[in-house]
Amino acid sequence: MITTQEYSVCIYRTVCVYWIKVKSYRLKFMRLRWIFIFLIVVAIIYLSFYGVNHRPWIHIKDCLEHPDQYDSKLVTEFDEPRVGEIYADGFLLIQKRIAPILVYSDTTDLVQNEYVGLQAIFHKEGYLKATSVCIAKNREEKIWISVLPVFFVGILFIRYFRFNVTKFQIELRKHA
Amino acid sequence: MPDLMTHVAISHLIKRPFELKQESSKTVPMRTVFYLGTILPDVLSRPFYILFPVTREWVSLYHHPVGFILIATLFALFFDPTIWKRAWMHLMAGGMLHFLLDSFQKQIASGIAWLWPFSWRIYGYGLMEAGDILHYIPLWISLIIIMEMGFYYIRRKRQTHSVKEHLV
Repeated sequence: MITTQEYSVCIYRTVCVYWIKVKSYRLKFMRLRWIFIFLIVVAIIYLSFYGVNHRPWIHIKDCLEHPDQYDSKLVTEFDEPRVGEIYADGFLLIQKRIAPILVYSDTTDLVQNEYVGLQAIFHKEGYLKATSVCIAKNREEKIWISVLPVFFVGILFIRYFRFNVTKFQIELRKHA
Repeated sequence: MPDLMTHVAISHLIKRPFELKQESSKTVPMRTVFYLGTILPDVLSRPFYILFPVTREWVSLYHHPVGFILIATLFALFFDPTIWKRAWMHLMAGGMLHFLLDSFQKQIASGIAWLWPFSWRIYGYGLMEAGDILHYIPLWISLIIIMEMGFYYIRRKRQTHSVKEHLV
């Protein structure tokens, strides 16, 4: 027969063991956390450089800077490309911080001022011949609609989590 | 990419049924982390290269699964040790759902390089155009409202059932 005192000692010991386990796990985690953070930051920096230097896709800016080198190459990357003036056999491609460039393509579905998805062959004379063109319908609306959920999730996050500056960690708020 | 409204709405429609048995107030924090996972790949890349196109090559890393895994792990490491694993899992699940939804979209010049940095090949199903997805937002919102009403009804039914049992 277990007495009340023995029973309470048993519970106390179980709680102590559990607490020590939790505490040692916390300590181990806290010790390793900064090592993991350092390693991940290094990996991200390395992959960023790798991504920039080993991209197989050609950007229009490179073509315009070295036209001879990129003659007859397929260009897939543009800076926020929009359709400018539309002609019978092509259109003027307008980009941010890049001079307008003439693109020869089928113009049946094109709409002026709309964003466009484009793949085209670059010619050193300074024009492009489109291999595929597609209007990015409602892109501007899509961008503005996307702002709303960012605020919604941000507010929810701030409501349920807080950043503890002394422990340097994100914690659940007490009411959560 | 589908817009973020679609991403968050679909993540809600997928995540919510798993929480039916739990109390709603207890599941909201981790659901928020799940939402965060679904918007994070776009939030970390799109605004930068829309506003400053020069940064495109530097930030596109976060819109690849491997880059996202790294950044989500980094973010999760800043959570309280008691919840960081759950937070990491919710971030990951949200992020992978984001990439899966993006794969359904028709891509001309960009897409999801699932195997990057081992391969630059872009994989996708090309089922629908990005602009067309926008028209489905009312549908997602209606589905959310119907689902929440259903959940409310089930909760009420459970509560009255437990009260009756208690009285008996």
